[in-house]
Amino acid sequence: MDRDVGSRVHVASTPPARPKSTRPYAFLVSTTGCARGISRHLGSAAYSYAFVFEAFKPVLEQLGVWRLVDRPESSLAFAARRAEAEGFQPVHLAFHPLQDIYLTPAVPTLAFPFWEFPEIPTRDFGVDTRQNWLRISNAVDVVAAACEFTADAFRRAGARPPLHVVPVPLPDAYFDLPAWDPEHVWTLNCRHLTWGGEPDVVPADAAATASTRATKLEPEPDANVSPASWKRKLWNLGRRGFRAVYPWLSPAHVDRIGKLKTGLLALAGRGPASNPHEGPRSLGRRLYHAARSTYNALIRPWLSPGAVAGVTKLKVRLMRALGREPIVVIDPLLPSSELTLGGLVYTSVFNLGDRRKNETDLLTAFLLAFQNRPDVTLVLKLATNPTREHHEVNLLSHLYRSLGIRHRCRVVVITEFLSDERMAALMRVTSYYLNTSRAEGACLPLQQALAGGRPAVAPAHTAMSDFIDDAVAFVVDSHPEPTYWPHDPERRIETAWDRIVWSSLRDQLLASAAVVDRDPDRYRELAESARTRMRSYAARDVVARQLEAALAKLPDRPVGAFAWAS
Amino acid sequence: MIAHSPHFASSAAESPVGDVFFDANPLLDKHLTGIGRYAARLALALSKRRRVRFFAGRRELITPRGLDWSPDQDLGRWARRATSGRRPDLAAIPDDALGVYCCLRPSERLFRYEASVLHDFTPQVVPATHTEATRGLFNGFCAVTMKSSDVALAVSHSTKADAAWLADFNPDRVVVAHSGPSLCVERCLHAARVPRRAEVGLVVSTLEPRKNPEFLLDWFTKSDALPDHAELWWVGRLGWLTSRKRLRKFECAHATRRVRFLGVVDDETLCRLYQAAGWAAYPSLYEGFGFPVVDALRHGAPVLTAYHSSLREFDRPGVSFFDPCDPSTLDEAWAQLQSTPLPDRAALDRDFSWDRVASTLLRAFAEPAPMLAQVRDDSAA
Repeated sequence: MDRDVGSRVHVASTPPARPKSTRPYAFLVSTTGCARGISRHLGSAAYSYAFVFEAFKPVLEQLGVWRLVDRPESSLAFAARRAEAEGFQPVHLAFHPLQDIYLTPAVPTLAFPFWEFPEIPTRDFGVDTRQNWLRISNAVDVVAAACEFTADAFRRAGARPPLHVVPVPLPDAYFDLPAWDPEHVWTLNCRHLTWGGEPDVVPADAAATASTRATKLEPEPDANVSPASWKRKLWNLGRRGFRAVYPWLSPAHVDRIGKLKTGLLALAGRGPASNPHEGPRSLGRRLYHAARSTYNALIRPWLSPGAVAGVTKLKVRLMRALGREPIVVIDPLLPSSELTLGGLVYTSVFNLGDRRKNETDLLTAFLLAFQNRPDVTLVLKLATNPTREHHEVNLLSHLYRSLGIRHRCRVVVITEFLSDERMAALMRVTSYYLNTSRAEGACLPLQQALAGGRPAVAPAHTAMSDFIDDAVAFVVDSHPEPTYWPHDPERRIETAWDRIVWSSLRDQLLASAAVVDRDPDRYRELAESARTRMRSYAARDVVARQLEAALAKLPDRPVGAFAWAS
Repeated sequence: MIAHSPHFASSAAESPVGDVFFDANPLLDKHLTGIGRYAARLALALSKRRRVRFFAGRRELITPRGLDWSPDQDLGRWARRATSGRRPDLAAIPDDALGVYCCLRPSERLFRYEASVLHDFTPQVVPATHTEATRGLFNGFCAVTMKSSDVALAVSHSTKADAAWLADFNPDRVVVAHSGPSLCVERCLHAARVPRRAEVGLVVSTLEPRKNPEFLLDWFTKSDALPDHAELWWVGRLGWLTSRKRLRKFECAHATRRVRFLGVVDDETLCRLYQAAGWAAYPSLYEGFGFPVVDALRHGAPVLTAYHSSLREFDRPGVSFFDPCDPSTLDEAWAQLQSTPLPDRAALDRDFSWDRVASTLLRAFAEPAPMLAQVRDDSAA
């Protein structure tokens, strides 16, 4: 039966699963703005809610119809009124962290927040009252949690609304993934960089240098450069000296020396922003750069954000009056090239900007465990986007180089957005999913890998405690460690996450490789257990039943009510 | 000698509070719109029941002799006059005095009874439509200073509902009273008969992002639903985060339809405009109450308004609703407007009355005596 709510509602593909006496649901979904173009916003704040919404769409269509409401504060009540008039039962389904949610008594709200710490914030952050998750949750009608761990965090805080665990549904395509085949290889063309690995026969350092060169803005060396002058030699000597003492200087000293250098270069007409191909600067330009450096170093830190914006606006106007448009520097992206994956492949999908993800342990443990195994590959699929890619690749490259580990195993960093089909293909070539995170609210890629029969190397803490154990994974030991909520501006130590035991991680990586090498039956057993576990935990029909149970807890309040209590 | 409102008729049974000390800061704005108009109207309404005295900070604003306390006059002129007197230090505050804060307030308490008016939570709900400074001030109010008040008077059920999840304030201490009209309370300021012009639409609001002007102007210049000779008159000043140049382009965006920005007008002119308009529109993205809807309905103009927050509480004959983010729903609302019955003036006067606002505020201090004691304990702590 096709039904429609408003002009933008997606039509249910199957009849509503609810009894005929009750009206089908109209899910009015509010979520992160990333949902309108995830490829451009991957890695941005709350981006993973877009994937959760995407995963839920087929389940919502089983129970009724859905509509994405972009501005719930302005459009939700109207959408609910219209859905009600058309014979539906409107429900506000909010895929948001609670500080971003909008609540109204006009329509019952089922909130779906993800949370990975044992405590939820029960206070305002400064004067930001929206950060008090306890107060906000108490005004929600039902809270759906993706795992028992999150539900416990709400219970522990004393949240009043009904709580129900509703895992994120996993696409059928993952359950249908063929079993891992050591002979299977997959070639794709994407933006990536590679460190080490036998096929390239490139030493690790050289590979790192070569592959990161494209990400730097340094100019190519000029073939016609004349022999270094005494000034250049003096400059190089100073720079070498600085680099020698740099590790022992405080950040404040480094900052001051940097500013001094910038100022000297500006006066000499060779500021870092200058284009070496531009030729010598005129006196006016040198004065401009000197003034800019002085402003940035001495005046700007004392100005309010509003005043800084005012000065910038004035500068842009002045430059426009002089016929100069502001220059927008676009960071270069990694070049796209062919990549072939095969053999023993460990895959990890994460956002480098999230400090929970623990990429240092991940890299060091992998490189040291498989230092002399050219047939082993680690695929790091970064959740990033073109705006962030340059910066994040530089960060990761810096981390990698600073480790100084010589290795023959291969590390591949993929920065390009991969469609659902390519992600499924990546999982097909994957032998193990690797997770070294300190806390997880769900970890969808891990769940998808398990559903596809790819065992994991992962700790069994936070959300992962629902589905990770020895039957489906090589479990990495972990212990609680005090920390702060990631969005707390004061960074008060009020919660905890789980610090993984590095030696356990390395040992489990070695053990997992040993199973592939010597015990294929054990691998098949793990793979089958993983599939079965996830089918019973988060297959679509299972989640649909859980969601229905959560919806049944919604209060019987008339749509369009004006207040909760009165 | 202190001059005061002369019309009060004290009723101890209604409330234990005596003189009302009214925070005059909202009345000091150059253009008395929104919160300023509300403050002026509430002061005038309270003056019928209690002696009203104005204060700002720690100074009293002595009202001049012969100040007119009648409701139907130009509020801007009245507010300027009311706040133009001497400003001695605030001294000898009676024991039963009530302090009323119509906008922000300090944490420090000055009076035995204190009340805050809650207009809206738009700085938290639609933060992008406010400047950073405004967001900071209102966030501080909701998180900290509001707690010093014994009672909060919400201007709509929607605002009370927002307070429940956005403010650290006991919901049991929030009372609701819909505001009265912002002008022409007992009689029309423009007494002469004005012919109604069906082709003219009127919008009364500051031109700022939350009022969603570009959405309405875009619809007005592009919609096929409107007649070709339609006119849209916009009353209100240019506000924050809004480009005059971008709005000006709508003046000549359609060959035959006309957009006129009338700026700030006095109350009598506004009354005349409401009487002349064939319809009014209010495309706001979020509201605390919505004076222009009540004012337009009381002047006989049907209203097209967004359906959310407090605007939902105007669901009555004469009002057609739309989604302020979807122009197609505005076309439908316009079509409905052509067949909507005229608003019922008597029902409007009953539901939106300043007298009721004043009595609700005063009665709030009569009923929950234990609650007030608890508040004072909290404040002392």
